[in-house]
Amino acid sequence: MKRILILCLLLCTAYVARGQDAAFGELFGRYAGRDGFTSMELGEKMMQMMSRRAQSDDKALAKLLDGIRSIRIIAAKSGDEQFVQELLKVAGDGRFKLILSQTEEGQTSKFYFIDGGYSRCSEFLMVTYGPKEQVAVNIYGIFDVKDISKLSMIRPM
Amino acid sequence: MKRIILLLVCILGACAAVAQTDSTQLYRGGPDDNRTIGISRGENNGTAVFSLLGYEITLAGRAEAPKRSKVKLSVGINRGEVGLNRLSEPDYSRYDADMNGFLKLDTWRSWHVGLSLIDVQVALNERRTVFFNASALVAMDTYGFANKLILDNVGGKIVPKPLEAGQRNGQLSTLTASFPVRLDFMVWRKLMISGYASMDFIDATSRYRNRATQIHLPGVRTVTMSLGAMLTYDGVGFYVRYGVVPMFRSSAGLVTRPLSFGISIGL
Repeated sequence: MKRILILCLLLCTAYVARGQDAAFGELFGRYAGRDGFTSMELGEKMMQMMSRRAQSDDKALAKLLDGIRSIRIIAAKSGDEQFVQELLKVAGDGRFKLILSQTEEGQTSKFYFIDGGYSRCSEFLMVTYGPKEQVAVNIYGIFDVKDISKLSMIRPM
Repeated sequence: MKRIILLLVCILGACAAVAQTDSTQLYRGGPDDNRTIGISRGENNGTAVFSLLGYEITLAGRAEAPKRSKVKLSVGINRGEVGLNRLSEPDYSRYDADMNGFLKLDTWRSWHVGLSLIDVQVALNERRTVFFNASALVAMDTYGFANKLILDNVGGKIVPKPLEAGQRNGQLSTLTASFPVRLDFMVWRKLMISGYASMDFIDATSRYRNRATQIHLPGVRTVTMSLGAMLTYDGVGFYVRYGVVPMFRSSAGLVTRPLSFGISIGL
């Protein structure tokens, strides 16, 4: 009986490990409550409320918002090297594909994306670190990234 | 330090703002920093723009998946099963009293390993929540005996045969080709409940482990039927199968039915 329980436990562990946003979620959970960090999370329910508001005049936008499971933002108030290292470790685990990386005046911004396809959840991760700030933004849900532009850039046609 | 001020004030405002045409600020770099994090409606219908510290990320919903065929054929290994075998309480009425219990199994030497090699799936509704499946499965089952014996067929009757010195781990081993038909019900997201009936063709041998001796066991039915159920999430879950036809021929003396339960993994 004990061995059956261990076998079931192993199976459950293996399955849970497949969770896509687990890595960032774990990091967010650890740092969100600490001193020196500010964090924000918009959950699925919030996105559904936003979706309902948009339903009347833009159904496609409503569907996009409804598909977003969470938006999480976490920022370090002062330079926290370990936080940045852990963020980069999450971003570099192989599932995230780098979309854009830019460094300006010592401030680096990196954008990553996991494409979930038609039905699975995708994940967008922005990490910015440097002398100005260390911030991570994570968006999880069913969506696609259409465009990334810097406000100072000339936007592509 | 001063730069990092989270503006959590607009959580409810975000609701209204994206729905209307305004943008909503969720974060601001600092009093002297205009870079913010916010959400606004995109220029094109169905898009939302996330302003992220000087960058604009335009998100759009997923395009509809292309029309898929209702019939899907998978050739090759598409599902695996690993589990334990049990036998229902055997009827020993045709044996001497001192032979009662000879079919008692050693749980951890009674395994089931199965691979589904061909699978035809037909979606039965537009929402693709109900499926019919027909497949071909090959399985290896072992029934390791707790007592030091192997089974033999003497005069058409299954009888226990004590192991000789140097022999150990007596077991009944079967190789099965199964042809199950299954109904799958997607009850919630990827949670699937399935029920199936299977026609099984069995080749059985009696053997012990440390020598290559194998005795073909004619008393085991070569064609049987079993019923089963599965509970899976995203293809991974549990199965249970019960042989509705007794494992041995009626002339063989023993009446017992096989039961198997374990893990099913979609590959």
